[in-house]
Amino acid sequence: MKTVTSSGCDRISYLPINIIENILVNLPIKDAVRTSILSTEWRYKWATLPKIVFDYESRIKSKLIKIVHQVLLIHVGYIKKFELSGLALRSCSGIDKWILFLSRNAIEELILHIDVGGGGGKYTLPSSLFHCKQLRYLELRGCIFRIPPTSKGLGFNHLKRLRLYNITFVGSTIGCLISSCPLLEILELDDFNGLTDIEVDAPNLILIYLCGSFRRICFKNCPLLVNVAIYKCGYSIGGSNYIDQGRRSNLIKALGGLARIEELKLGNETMKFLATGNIPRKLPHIYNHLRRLYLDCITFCNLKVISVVFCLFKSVPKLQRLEISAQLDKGAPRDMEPVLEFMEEQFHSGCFLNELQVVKMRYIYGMRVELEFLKLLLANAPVLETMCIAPESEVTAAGSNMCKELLRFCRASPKAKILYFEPYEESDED
Amino acid sequence: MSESEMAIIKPEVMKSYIWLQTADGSIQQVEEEVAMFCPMICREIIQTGMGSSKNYAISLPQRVNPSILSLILDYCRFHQVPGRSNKERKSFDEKFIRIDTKRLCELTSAADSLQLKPLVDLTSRALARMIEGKTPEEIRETFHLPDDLTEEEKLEPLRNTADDPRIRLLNRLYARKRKELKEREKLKNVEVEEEHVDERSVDDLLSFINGGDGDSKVPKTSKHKKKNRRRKDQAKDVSSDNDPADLSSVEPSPSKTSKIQEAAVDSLAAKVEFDDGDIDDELDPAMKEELDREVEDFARRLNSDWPERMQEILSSGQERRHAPISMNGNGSLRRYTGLERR
Repeated sequence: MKTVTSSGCDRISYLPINIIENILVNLPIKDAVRTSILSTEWRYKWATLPKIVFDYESRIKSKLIKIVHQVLLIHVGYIKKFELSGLALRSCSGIDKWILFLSRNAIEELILHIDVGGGGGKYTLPSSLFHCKQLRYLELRGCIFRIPPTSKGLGFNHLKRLRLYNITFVGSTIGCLISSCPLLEILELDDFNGLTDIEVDAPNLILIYLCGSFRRICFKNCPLLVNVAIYKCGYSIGGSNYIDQGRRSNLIKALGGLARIEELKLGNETMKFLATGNIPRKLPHIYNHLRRLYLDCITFCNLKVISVVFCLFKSVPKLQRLEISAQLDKGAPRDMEPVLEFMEEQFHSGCFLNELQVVKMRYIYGMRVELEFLKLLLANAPVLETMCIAPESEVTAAGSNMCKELLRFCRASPKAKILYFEPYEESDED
Repeated sequence: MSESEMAIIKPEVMKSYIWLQTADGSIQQVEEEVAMFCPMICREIIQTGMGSSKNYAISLPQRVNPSILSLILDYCRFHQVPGRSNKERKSFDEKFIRIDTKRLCELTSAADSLQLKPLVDLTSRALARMIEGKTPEEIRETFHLPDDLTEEEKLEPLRNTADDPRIRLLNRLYARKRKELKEREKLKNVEVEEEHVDERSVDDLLSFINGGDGDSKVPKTSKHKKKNRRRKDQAKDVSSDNDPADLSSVEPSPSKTSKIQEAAVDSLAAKVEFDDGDIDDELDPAMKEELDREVEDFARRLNSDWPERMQEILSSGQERRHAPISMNGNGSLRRYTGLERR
C-alpha cells in the first residue's frame, strides 16, 4: 500500500532526535503516540518520549489503565516525567507495576493523583516507590503512604520538592523521611492524617506548608527556611480534641528553630495550639527577617490567643505586612475585660512594629476588643501606609459605627490611609 | 600619535562586527551584540578569539545555510535588545514562525546547532502545533511523509489511536478477520482430532457390541478402564469441539443416521476380535440400563458429525495408520456416504 508522495521532500523526519523529542513533548500524549502511524521512520519515534503526561487535557475517558500499560510497555529509555492526574481511576490495578517500571527508568518527576472514586479504601503505595532514586519532584494525592520503619534505603537523595495531598500516613513519623532527603527545598503536606509528631530536619528547606492534624511540631535544623505555613487541624484521639499540655510553651517549641523566616502563616487551630502552656512575654529569639505575618482564625476574646499575638509582635521588629482574620469563638464567653486590660498594658509598654506598612483585617465584627486592637496598631505603627478593613458579612449597621470609631483614632503615621471595604468587596490586590 | 591612540582604543567602544562563514563558503558580517546572542558564536569568540576579521571568520555548523542564517540573525537582532516588553517579543515570535514547513524544519535544525535554545523551543512548539489534532493524512501532506507502513502495521493495536473512527472501524474489521482465521484453523485442528477420536471410539463401540449387550462398560481391567476413560474424554472433546463449528452444515436426522450406524456396526461385527476379559460378568439391570443409555448417547454424538467426518476421511485419503478395522470402516462408510448423498 505504498503511495508515492508528491513533490517536496521530507525535512522533518531526519531532524536530530533531541529536536524530535522536543516537538513530541509539546504534543498531548495522544497525538504523540499517533505519530507512530505516519510512516516507518516515525513508527517508534515517540517511544523515547521523556515526558509521559496523562492529565485532564489528554481526554482519555475509558480504558485508561490499558492505555498506560501499553504506552509504558512500548516506551524505551529513561522517563524523565510521568504524570497521571485529573483522570478518574476506576481501579488501582497496575499502579504497582507502573511505579516499579518507572523506578527502573530513572524517573525524575512523578505526579500521581490516585483518587479512586467510589467505595473501596485508599490505595497503598508500594515500597518500590522508594526505589525511584532519581526523583526530584514527587507529588501524590489520595493514597496511603507507608513509611518503612528503618531509614535504610528510605530517602530520595535528589528530591527537591515534595507535595502530598490528602494522604494517610502509616508507619513511623515523617521526620525520618524528611531527614533522608537532604536536598529537600519545598515540602507541602496538605490535608494529611496519621501523623503525631512532625520533626523537620532539612538543611536545605526553603518553604514548608502544613495543613493537617498533628500533636507536636518542631523545627530542628532549618537554617534556610524562609516561608512557613502551619494550618493545624484539631488532633483527635478517640473523638475528643487533644492539645498537648506541656509545661513549656508550644510557641517556643514550635517556632524555636525558625531564625531566618521571612513569612509566617498560622491558621486554623494553630493559634490555639501555640497558646497552650505558659506564654512568655517575649520569645527567646528575635525574628529579624520576618516581614510578613498572616494570622488566621484569631479569636479576639481569647486572652491566651491575644497574648500569643502580642508575644509575636514583640519578636518581629522588621515586620512590614500584617494580615489578620478574626473568628468568633462560638463556645467561649464574650468577656472582653481581661483582653482589654491586657491590651492597655501593651499599649503603654513601648513601641514595636516600627516598620509596619500594610495591615489587613478581615471578618471582624466591630467588637470593642477588635477596635481597641486597631487603635493600638494605629498608634504604634509610625510608618503605616495602608490599613484595609473588611468586616464579616453579617455586620451592616455596626459597620458605620466602626467607621466612625476608626476615624477617631489617632494615628502615629501621617501617611496612614484607612480603607473600608464592604463585605465581599475587597479585592486581593497588593 | 593618533595611530597608537587608535591601537589603544578598545574595540567595544566602536561598533564592531563579527565575521561568520557558512558551510558553503560565503562570509558575512554582523553586529557583535547580535552575534553574541547565540551561545555557540559567543563561545567561539571568547575561547578562540576568532571572528574579528574577514580572514578569521567563525565557521558555522553545516546545518546553517545563508538564508536561514539571516533569519536567525533577525531573531537575535530583535531579542537581544533588552528593553522590549514580553508582549512585543511574543508577537514578534508569532509572526516570525509563519514560514513554510520546510524552512521551519531547517530553522529548527540550524538553531539547534547554534544552541539557541529559545529559538529551538519556539520552532519546536510551532511544529508541534502543526501536528496536534490533525489526522495522519493531513500530517503526511504537510510534511511530505511517505505513507509506507503496511496496513497490518498501522493497525497493530495501539488503542490510543482508537479515537479516529476510521481507524476504529478498520481495527474492528481486522479483528473480525483475525477471529475468523483463527476459528477456521481451530476447526481444522478439531477435525483432525475428531478423526482420531472417532476412529478409536468406533473400535470401542464395536468392542462392546461384540462383548455382549453393553456390559463391557464395567471397568474391571485397567485396560478397559483406560479405554472407557479415553472414550469419555474423546466424547467430551467431540462434543465441545462441535459447538463452535458450523453446525449449520450438520443437520442429520437422528433416525436416518442411527440406522446407518447400526448397519455399519453390524457389518463390522464379524471382523472384530477384542480381548475383553470381563465380558462374562453379570450386570445388574440398573447398570445395564445406564450403559444402554450411554451407548445411545454416544451414538447420537457420533451421528452429529458423521457427514463431515466422512468428507474429511474422503478428502484426506492418506491417514491410514490406524488399526485395520478403520480401513474397513472407511470402506464400508464410503458406501454409506454415497447413500446419504443421494
